[in-house]
Amino acid sequence: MKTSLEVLNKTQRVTPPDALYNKIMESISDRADIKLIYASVICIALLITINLFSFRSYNDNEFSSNKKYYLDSPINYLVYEY
Amino acid sequence: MINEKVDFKNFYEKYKELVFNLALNYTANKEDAEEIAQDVFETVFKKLEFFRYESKIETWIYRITINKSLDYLRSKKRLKNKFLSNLLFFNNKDGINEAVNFNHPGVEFENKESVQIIYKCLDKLPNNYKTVIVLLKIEGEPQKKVAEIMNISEKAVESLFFRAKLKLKDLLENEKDI
Repeated sequence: MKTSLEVLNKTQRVTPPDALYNKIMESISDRADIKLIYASVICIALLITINLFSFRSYNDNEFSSNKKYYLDSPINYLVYEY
Repeated sequence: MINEKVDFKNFYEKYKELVFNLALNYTANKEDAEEIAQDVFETVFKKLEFFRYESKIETWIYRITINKSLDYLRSKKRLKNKFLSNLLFFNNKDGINEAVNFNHPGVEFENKESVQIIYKCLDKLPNNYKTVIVLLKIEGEPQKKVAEIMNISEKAVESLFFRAKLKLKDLLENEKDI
């Protein structure tokens, strides 16, 4: 056992390859900025919310205007099937 | 940005050997160590501005490298197990779930075979046993520093190392029997 661990002591230090630094810098610069990602997500969420609200209010208006039109129309204007 | 780059370059030059060799001593594979070192420096680059200097920067780098190495080995082992169990349709218990694919450039040729067997057994040890052996025996760090890195007392390091050695001895004997 003692000799086994002594073998481990003989492990030599190794210099990392020169290309490693460039690899690290490339991957750092390739990565998108986290703040930009958050800002984009917030913008999309805001856009969806605004769209939902406008769609809902458009539907409400449409319904109420139709209702008003039918109620206000004179009896003569109603068309029946023959 | 230029200053940031220069600072990081200096930082990299100062700690590249520490990170690379520590990762190499965990994985015993040059390519894996490169991948871990890359991951460690990316994390350091992102988190350096938030470092609170409550501990030494070197201790912090040691901890990041150890955690990344253990995570890497764990995920590699899981991937290998999944692949093999899919391939063979059953779980083989011995031998095939090793994460270590031996390619350690720091090991002399005449010791290669015995070190390879030790690494095979080291891979089967619990993480804290493996860490204490790597730091004390392979990295050759003093007990005090190991205690600081592992965030335990010196006495705890001593007893952990004793238990780790016993377990490793058991595993090595089993390996010889096979």
